[in-house]
Amino acid sequence: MVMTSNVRRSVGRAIVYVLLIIFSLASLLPFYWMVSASLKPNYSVFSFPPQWIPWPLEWSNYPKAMTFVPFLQFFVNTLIIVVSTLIGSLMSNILVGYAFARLEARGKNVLFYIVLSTMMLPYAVLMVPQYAIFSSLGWVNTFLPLIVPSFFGNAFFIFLLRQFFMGIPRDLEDAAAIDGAGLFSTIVRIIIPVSWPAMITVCIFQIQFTWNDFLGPLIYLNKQSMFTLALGLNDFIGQYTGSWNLLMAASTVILLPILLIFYFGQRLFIGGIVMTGLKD
Amino acid sequence: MKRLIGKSGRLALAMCSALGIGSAFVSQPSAFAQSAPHITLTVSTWDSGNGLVAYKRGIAYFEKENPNIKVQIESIPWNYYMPKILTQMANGSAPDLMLVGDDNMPAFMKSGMISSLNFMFTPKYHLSVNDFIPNSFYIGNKPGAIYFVPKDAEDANVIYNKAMFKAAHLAFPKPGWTWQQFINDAKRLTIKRSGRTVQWGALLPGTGLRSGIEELANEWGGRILSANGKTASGYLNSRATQNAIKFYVNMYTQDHISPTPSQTASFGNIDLFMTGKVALEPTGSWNLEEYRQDPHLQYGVVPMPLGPTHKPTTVTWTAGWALYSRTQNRDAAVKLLRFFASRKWASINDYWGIPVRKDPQVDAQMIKQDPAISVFLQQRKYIAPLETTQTMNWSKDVQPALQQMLEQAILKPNSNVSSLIQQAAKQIDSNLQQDYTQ
Amino acid sequence: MKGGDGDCYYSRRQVHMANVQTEVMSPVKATRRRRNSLQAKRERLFYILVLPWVIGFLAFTLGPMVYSLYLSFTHWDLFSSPRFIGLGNYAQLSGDPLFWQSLRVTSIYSIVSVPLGLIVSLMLAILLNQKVKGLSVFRTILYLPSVVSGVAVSTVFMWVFNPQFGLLNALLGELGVKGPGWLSDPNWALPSLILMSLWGVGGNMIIFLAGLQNIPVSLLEAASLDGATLWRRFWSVTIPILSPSILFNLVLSIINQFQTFTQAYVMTNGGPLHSTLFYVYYLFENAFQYLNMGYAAALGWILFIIILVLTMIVLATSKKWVFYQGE
Repeated sequence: MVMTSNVRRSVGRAIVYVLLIIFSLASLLPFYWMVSASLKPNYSVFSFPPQWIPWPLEWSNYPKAMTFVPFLQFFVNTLIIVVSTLIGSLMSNILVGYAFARLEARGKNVLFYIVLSTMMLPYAVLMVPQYAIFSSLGWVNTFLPLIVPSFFGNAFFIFLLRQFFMGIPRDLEDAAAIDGAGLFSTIVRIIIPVSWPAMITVCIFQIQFTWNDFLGPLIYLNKQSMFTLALGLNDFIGQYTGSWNLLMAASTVILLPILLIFYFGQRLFIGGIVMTGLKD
Repeated sequence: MKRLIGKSGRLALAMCSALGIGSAFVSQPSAFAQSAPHITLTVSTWDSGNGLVAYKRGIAYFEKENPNIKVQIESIPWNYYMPKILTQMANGSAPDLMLVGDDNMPAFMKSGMISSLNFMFTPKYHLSVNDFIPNSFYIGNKPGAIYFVPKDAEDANVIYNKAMFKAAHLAFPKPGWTWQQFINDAKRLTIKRSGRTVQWGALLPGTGLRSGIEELANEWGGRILSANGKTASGYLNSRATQNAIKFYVNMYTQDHISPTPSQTASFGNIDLFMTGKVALEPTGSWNLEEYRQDPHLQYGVVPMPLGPTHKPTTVTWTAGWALYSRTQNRDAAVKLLRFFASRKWASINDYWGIPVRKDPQVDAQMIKQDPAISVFLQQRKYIAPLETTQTMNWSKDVQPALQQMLEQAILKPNSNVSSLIQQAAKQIDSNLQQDYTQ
Repeated sequence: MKGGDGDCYYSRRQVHMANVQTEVMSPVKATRRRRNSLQAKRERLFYILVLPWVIGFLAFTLGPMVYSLYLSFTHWDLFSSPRFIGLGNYAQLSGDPLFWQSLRVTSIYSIVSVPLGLIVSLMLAILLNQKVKGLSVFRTILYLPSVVSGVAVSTVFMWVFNPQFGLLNALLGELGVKGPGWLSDPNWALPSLILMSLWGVGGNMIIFLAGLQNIPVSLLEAASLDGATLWRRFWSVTIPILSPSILFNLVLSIINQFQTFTQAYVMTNGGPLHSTLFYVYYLFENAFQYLNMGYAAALGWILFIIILVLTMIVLATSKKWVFYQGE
């Protein structure tokens, strides 16, 4: 009995490892190519069939890439926007998400559909009239069009947080309500602490969205000194030619902060529920 | 609508200043005010990488010469260039000077959003149309109506891989060669191994029309549209053009000398010539810069093969700067335009494309860098007027129909090319009619 | 208090998802009678909390949406003023074969890739929720593809799919199978892109992973002490508790996949033979290449309605299969 359960557990574990390794290899493929391209001379980036292991390694591509464009400037710009939108997003979306999850009001459901509907019209048809608004405010060529909207909430996060908040047992808050704690302190003291994974998820997504956003900066930023990393990277490539190796070097560098944030963020997921067998 | 935007906009402004982030990021709009010592000009470009570096060098020189003018380059990734410029134009806030590609020139001219530049090509500005290579200057511009200061004009030539020719014991192609010779060489340069093509003789532009059927129609003595750009019937389906198209399609379906358009597409960004997968490629000079840096690649350049008319001719890819009619800084913008048309610009700019200005000095400088470029410089004299710029909206009315026709003909080898051409002509006519009667 | 509130919420939920109209008519009256001062206060709180979103919506989104709806009734080349043409664009749509083709391509893509993406991301999330060594590293690696820059992804897939020299056909060749032309074959181009979409499931995966943290360990332990099999525990514990995340990922996948654009714009240009002519790609071409913004707006609003209807259907059925611990 014990033996079979042990055997079953080891087999289960082995299967988990094998699957994880297979999926990891598939996942690493684009990344591996990116890094290897970043270490090649430009003319051999696209050699075909691909040269999987670059030799000799052109480490000089990295300093070249970082000086070819005002990399530090782009980084600072991106950081300003990322931090601001993160603050805005957390401030607004938690409150709105909570309202949709827990409070009752007339018109709530219609309003919820309206929230969702803001994601359903392709950006290409909204772009021109939205530009008109920001242009009439004098915000073109500033970071404002990229930052200010985040303070008013975003359908994606509102919906996401609503789903998470609705999954929290009500007993917790009701106990608080009996204590007479106000709504805001309920959110701060109870809802946020018990929904760490959700908060981390929102942070990871918001940072990644802003970090990789291309169309927003493209439309609203004109001066190169105000470009973000995602937009600035395009300086490496043109219609017919491009410094692909430098582009890949720069792309690798700007990927690292996101990966680090993710690596440490996901550790806050409590995690580790054993599905393959009994708990030790 | 306007009131709505205005009102809600003010509301938003109030909201965010309440949040205390309002003023922190607004860059000073006073840069444009009269009190400032500087005039700030904006000029857009899709140049990037080394092209942008060269651009900036030229601009820096201009700023030194004109200390009261600052030039802000708006560099936009090429595949999002039109969406951004159009968004700005629709809102009346486009750059003072805009780079416009030949495809879009008629739309810009028709829009009334760009100013006529006739006044510049006068003795007062020490500028004359004779300073420029005739046909490449008039592309986009029309005699008597100048809207663009041309930036550069690439002509089409054939780049070939010398090592592959040597390996196949073939003589290098010579000027005056014919399309039949092109095919013969390409066939011998196509290598198959165990059923798979590992080297193609040629890389034809597929559904890319410019150096494809536009070029061939010229060489066969045909046209795609009427001279007024209003009709395709009688031109696209004329005998000469039909023969040109069939010849082009046959190179894919009978001679199998080139990867099909979708095969080419499946290589993505990969430059098949540079990676040693094709021996001959009719194209512009853009990639020579890259090829020069590859120590393993030996290449040569030869003019386009001759068609049945035996008249040398070449298409071109060109772009020019236009002056935004709503610019607040007209005088300064004209100054910069004048600089763009000068010899100085061409020599500082270390020229990035094939220059449009007649200037033996710049030509010599370029040939010194890469002798192969001389073919591109010589062939400029054969540049033919572009049909693309002779109709109102080529990219909507004509291009999709032609591309669909070619894709069908090439990917489905049994299709009846003549009837596909007839169909395309009909489709284009109905598109054109719709546009010209509106 | 708790019961009253829960009941009220439940009764509303049952009605509203199915039909907005009934929601406005009857339950409101019913609740009005039952409302006490606490409920009134909570209602007021709701409006206060959602106010920022409403202001942002009115300021930045409603205007452009309404304006684009107006544009869909006009002819607009983005240069001159829009010219009202009534239902002209919509009439033209019905006779436009490329509109139907793009709708077909996008629907097939979405119908296959949405469930496929959900299943794979759920599977990955469950794998990544096991107690194994190097879990953090595995999680980061599996999340990688969703952050790698677009150019690197599209280029590497050109290599994976290339019929002559690609990885996939090389592997198939080892197995003695002659691989298809993938992106260069009109019949295989769309399936190739569906396959490729699996590299973008990292986002869904994270949401499932976060959702899995909501499962009380005690619940699983109880189930396993009951002798429930792995499979039964999965269906009776994991899935119900994940159902709010499943609903979210399902709705967002529908919204996103129907608006697929980049693959066509960067990799295939809608070809070969329009086999990857995605709806939003066609819309984008109309807007900024054909200078036909009015027509693009009409395309946009048709898509809006399609996505809205699908979302409403999903939300309406969700009360049957989504389980919230907070209820």
